[in-house]
Order: sequence, then structure tokens, then C-alpha cells
Amino acid sequence: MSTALGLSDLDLARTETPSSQWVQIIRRDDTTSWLFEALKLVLRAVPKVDNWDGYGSIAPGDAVKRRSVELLAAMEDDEPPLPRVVPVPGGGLQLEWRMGDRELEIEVLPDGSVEYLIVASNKMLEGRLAKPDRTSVRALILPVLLAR
Amino acid sequence: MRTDLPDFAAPPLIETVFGVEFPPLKAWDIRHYGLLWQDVRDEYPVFQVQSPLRSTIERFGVDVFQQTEPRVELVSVPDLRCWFTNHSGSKLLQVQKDRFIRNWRQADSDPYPRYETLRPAFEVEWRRFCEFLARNSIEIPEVVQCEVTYINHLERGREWSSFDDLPEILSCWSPAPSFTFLPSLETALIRANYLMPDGKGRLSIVLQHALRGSDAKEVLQLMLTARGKPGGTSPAEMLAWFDLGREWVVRGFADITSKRMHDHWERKQ
Repeated sequence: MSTALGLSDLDLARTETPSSQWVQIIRRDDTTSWLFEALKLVLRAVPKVDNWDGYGSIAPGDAVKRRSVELLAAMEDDEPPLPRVVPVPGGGLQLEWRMGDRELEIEVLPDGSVEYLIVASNKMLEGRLAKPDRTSVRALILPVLLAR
Repeated sequence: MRTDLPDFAAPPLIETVFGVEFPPLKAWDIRHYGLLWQDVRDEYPVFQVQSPLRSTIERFGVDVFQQTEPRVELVSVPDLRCWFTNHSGSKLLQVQKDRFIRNWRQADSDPYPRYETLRPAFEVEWRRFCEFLARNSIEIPEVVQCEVTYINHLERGREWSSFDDLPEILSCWSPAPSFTFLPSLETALIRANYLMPDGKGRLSIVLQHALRGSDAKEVLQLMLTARGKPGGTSPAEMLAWFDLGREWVVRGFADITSKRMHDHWERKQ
């Protein structure tokens, strides 16, 4: 069964113990202000129904939401600028940043895998995060976002 | 069942929880989740496994201040909790070896079905559960605690726009704080406990800032939970405690929220 958030097994609510409450929430006191705002952007970008674009695209599923949140959670200590989050055809989500002459796009695909595109100083670098975890985010993504 | 309690035409209620806790059923094992599902599947066709709830037995008096001994338990099979959900996502049964809970939550724009409907609905489910246990040679549980929880969502943009509005929401929050240094609140987490008389239980009120998963709306979640030990183990005594717990939840809600909010929620009595 798909959950509303797709976050039921995510290590996001760090202090949360299982609760009898059914309606899913993300508690503000479990997150930093930055992550709370970032999660809001992700959840608001997820279309509620399939065919949201009129071309038959499915709505992003739990794997996409979970991976997007994991990526953002890996950035929260450094509080980079918040991304623009948009659904993409095929059931994925894209996180986008544009800062001066630098651009970064991260696409979370329906299976939870992650592709990136970095444009900086008229050079382009694209690829797939082999292991979309905290270490990769800190090594590859954050330097682009935090560069002066 | 009391009918003179505070009543609202448009309460911000989005979920209710009626539950009981009992000593772990000795003869219960993992097969029984599947067997129970066969019994309830027509009404609750969706099945989901969850982490088990920890025991939440209320302690009173000096007992409250005693440290709980660390406990190590060797178990051959991990504990779990199962969810049985109806098709529209408005009704949920939660079952684990020491817990039976029935939730209602708002699905779409369905109105709150009211306590007068939820109480007998719990009774029906509890009797069906006990019949299932008897049919499967499992002891009938001795309920040691009942719980009534009402969860209200006050939406940002509907009931409030910033934390400066807190005095407009809570009757106990000073409208003119005498602070000379502190700025506006960024966020808040407020918890208050009240003892019910004669050791009948405890009412816990928690107000917390949260993001709702279903629609990403920012809310103040106002959760009122009454827990306590029923007068006996019969269904009638259990239901009598639910009546008391519900009374504390409803009266507590009316006390802690402001007149302005009561008008917003169209208080009738």
C-alpha cells in the first residue's frame, strides 16, 4: 500500500517512536528549519493523481519521494539554497538550482536512482550517482551548491 | 453517554483513536494476523505490517518518579503490528499481541461521524476480535488500559497565519507577553498533562507544528489523549471508561482553545 508521504520507513523522524496516529505528519521539532521548508517543496511538487500533465505521466511514487527526501536530508547541515522542485514526465521528480552561471539539476527516477546535470562556467557534467547516499551528495552535489 | 458536552458544527478534527492495551496474549503468534484478516477482509481489504507500539501504561503517584529497569528480552519471533484498512482509507484496525486499536480519519470531505457512531463501532470490532480469539483457543484479554485520542489540525492560512496568532488559538497563552528581548516564535511544541480524579487516568495535550503528509499543508496539530484503567474487564466497563475519556478530551479541548476558535468551529453548546 502506498502511503501518503512514502516516508514511513525513512529515518527522518529521528526521535519518533511508533505511534497509534494514522494521519502522517512530519514534526517540525524533528527537522531543521531548512529541511522542513525543503520537504514542503517536495511534497507540494508531487501531483496527487496520474496523468497530471495530460500525457499519461504517473505521479511520483514512494521510491521517488523517499529518495528525494534522503538527498535533501543529506544537505541539511550545510543549508544550501532551497531547490525548485518539479515533477517530470515518467514519474520522477527534479530538483533544480540556478546560481549565477552555475546550474544543477538532479532527477530522481521512478526506481529511486538519481541522475545529475551540472553546468558551470560553460562546462557541462552529467552522470548518475552510483550510490545516491550522503557521501555522494557531500562529495559531488554540495560543492556545486556552496561554491562562492 | 453524555450529551451535554461542548459541541462544534465544524470541528478541526481529522482523526480519532480508540484503543485498549492488555498483557501480551500468550497463545498469539504470527499466523493469527492472517487468520484475523480473513475475518475482517471484506471490510478491511488492505493489510500492512508496522513496527509494534511500545507499552504506554500510565503511572501515578510516586511510581512516576521511579526509574524503569532496563529490560532485556530474548524473543524468537520479532514483534509486529498489523494494520487492516478499509478501501476508502477512513477506518483502520491496529492489532498486536498486547493492543487493539480502531482509528477513524477524515478521508476526502467526509464529516466526522461523531462519538455516538464511533463508540458502538469500536464495541462491534472488539467483540469480533474476542470471538476470533475464543475460536482460536486464545485467552480473552484482560484490558488494563483504555485510550481515547482526538487529533485536530489547525491549518496555517485557515486558523492561523503565524505563531504570533497563538494567543488567538490557545486560551492559556498570554495575548500580551511581557518579553523585552525575545522575538516572535519560530515554532512551538507545547505539552501539558492533567490528572483525572480518583486515579482514573491522565489527559495529555500536545500542540506541535507539523507538515501534513497528504497535502503538504502546515498545521498546528492539537492532540488530546486520555488514558486510564477501566473499572473492570467487561466491555461495558471498557465503554464506560471511553465515555469518561471522551468527556475529558472534549472538555479539555474546549477549555484550552479560545473563544475566537470556538466561533470559527461553530460551537453549538
